[in-house]
Amino acid sequence: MYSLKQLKFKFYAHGPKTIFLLIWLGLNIFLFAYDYYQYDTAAKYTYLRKIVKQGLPFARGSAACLNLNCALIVLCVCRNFLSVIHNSEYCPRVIRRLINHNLALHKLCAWSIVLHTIIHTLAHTFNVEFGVSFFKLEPIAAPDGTSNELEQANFVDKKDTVYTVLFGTVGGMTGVIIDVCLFLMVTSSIKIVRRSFFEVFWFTHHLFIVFFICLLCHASGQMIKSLEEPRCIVDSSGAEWCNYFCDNYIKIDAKVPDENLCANLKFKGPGYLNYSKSYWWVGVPLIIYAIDRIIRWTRRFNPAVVYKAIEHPGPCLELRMRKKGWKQQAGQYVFLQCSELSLFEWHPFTLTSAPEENYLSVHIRKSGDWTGALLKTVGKHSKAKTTKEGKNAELNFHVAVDGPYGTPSDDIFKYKTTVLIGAGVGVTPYASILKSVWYKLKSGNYNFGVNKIYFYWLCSDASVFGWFTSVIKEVVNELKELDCSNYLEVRPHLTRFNNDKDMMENVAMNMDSEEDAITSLPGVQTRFGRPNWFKDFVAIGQENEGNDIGVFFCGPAILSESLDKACSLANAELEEQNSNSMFFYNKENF
Amino acid sequence: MRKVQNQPPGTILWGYWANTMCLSGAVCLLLSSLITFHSVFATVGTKDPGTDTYWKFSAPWALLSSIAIILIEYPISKRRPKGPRRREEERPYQLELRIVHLVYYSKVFRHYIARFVLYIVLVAPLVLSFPCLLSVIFVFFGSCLYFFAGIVKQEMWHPGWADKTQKVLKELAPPSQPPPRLQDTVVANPVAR
Repeated sequence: MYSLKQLKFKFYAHGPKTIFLLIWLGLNIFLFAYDYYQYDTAAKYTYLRKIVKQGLPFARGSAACLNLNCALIVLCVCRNFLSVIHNSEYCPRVIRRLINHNLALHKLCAWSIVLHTIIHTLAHTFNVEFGVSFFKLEPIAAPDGTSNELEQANFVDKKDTVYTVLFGTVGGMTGVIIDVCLFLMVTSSIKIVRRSFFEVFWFTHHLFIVFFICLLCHASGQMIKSLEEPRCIVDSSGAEWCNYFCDNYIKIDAKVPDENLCANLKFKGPGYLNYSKSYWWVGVPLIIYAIDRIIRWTRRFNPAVVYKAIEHPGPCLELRMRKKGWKQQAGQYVFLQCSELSLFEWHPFTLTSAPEENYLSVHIRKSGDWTGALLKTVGKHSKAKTTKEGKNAELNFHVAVDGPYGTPSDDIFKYKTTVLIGAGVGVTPYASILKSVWYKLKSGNYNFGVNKIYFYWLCSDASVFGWFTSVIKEVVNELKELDCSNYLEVRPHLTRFNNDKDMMENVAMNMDSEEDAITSLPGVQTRFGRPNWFKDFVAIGQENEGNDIGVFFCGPAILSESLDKACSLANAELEEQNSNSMFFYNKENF
Repeated sequence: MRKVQNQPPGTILWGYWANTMCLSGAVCLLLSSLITFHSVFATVGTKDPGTDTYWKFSAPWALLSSIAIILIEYPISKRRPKGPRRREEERPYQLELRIVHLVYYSKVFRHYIARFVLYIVLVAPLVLSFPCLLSVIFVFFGSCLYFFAGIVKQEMWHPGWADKTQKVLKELAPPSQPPPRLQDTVVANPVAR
């Protein structure tokens, strides 16, 4: 349990996100309540309400929320659009931190869409049932003796059955298609399916095109009939008279329609543009998304050339590429597509090259069928090239690159002290950042914002350190040469120990050596087990008194939770010690 | 027939998606069945004018079918581990469910074709019940995917604990053959030295 003080820091750390969520929730409630009230009380729906009862306001209230969430869900995945805002100089940290949670909001909107779709579908199930059953009623049972008007107001004809309404009308048919598309998209997005078989998730998710087309057409059937809008005139004395739903004019005070005054009631569908609000809500986000997709699509025509492939233990492959007009920031990520493997599959990888380097590089670990096939293809090209042109021949293998896109790591240089935590393959964004720091120091730029970097490197297997040892070692050595080793403190942790006798012997033999026995990094010693985050953070806070400390993590979600908690606890502890240091937690999301 | 854990790495296990589909479809069916019990669908106004004229059958049938499908589908099949320490995917408390043992040892519903046939039989009569129609479509999609997984991909359901039990028994069993001997080589004994 959190104490009051810890909760305060928890709210401080997650405040913007919480406020945004409250606004989103408030908007949903407001839209639902507003439309519910409108359709529950508006005089022009008096007759329709007599037929379908409460189904109408429930259906319209949930439809309003669906519109909002369908607009937001699209905006959340406009990568280039969000990247432009994220990378803007004028974008405050609060907004950037919010943008980093775009995928979480996307999922939240999706679940909200599911909930409101269920309400909307159930409400319309009742509506159709009431509408069709209405004609089975004996005339005498019709309320208020207005069966003729009720027949006019009904959205189904006498000969209709529930099945003709469902499959024979635009509203019904598009509704069924929307439900089926949503069902397929949601079931394939469940973590277990998404993580295991990304292709199923990816291809099924493209049913969103059908979903949105049907959403825009859903209301075009104009099934909900209302009484015509009243027309008003002002007489010579200045009094306003309105014809409420009939030919007779009544005084403006008489807001409630008097059925006795109305001889010829006129019912009509409201017209698509007046009735359907979907295109207002979804139109602009869809246009932005379409532009985003076009930008992404055009990038495949400017592919990067892989000129070098380096194999690391793991197995892990480093691809070095060149691309025209390439610009990046440290810690960003790209999507790669290899046309030799698949025309449609784009996979995200963190850039491991620094912005100061004249190439872009990614480290790819073999973890699935696509990465395995890519490793094989690169190996095949490499073999063919070396056989033909000799050992030092450059590769000439093309891959399409989409990006670079911003990540929370972009903010690293905005904190005076940063704690970088990379678990397993999660170390990749920090390779780029550390290299960038080295380049900055090498060029004599000592005022790039950061005074101290703590780099936690967590691996469950000693061999995994091998992926980046060369890069980190190079950075550590170069910083030492520049006499800037105080900028960086590397803390490798081996979190699992498998009774490896060779390793134990190696550690024992190299106890006094300057180089670490496991990582071979100079002046560093690998610790066994996980760090005590709370103690370490408090110590870091005390060492860097008065600084805002950014904690950046890339790795598994379970560890992220404990780090988030440790930051809040450390903040509370530091406040008790009258320290002005404060931790800000950031997590990489893909 | 290839079991789930014998599939080559990276192969899409369609049974997983079918499982999610049938489970969510069954939850929708449960909701629909409760609505079908609502008086609206049977007795709007007078003289039984509701569209679902046989609701007295369809409502309880949908309720029982949905519960049966949920019980069968809740325990998820074992996933073939891709990595050396890959965690198995299981739903909370699924191993404590008696149905897991029944499904596994009955050797019927382990086969996806049996599930396909059962679900079609369960949901087909509900096509004429308007409130259940969409849920029926959802379960139908899931069962068709089971058919595809069973016939084309030859997948079958396999619980996570089955292998563990076998492994433990294997470890406890005494060796049936003598250990292999190295031939034509002299092994130096470091202790003797």
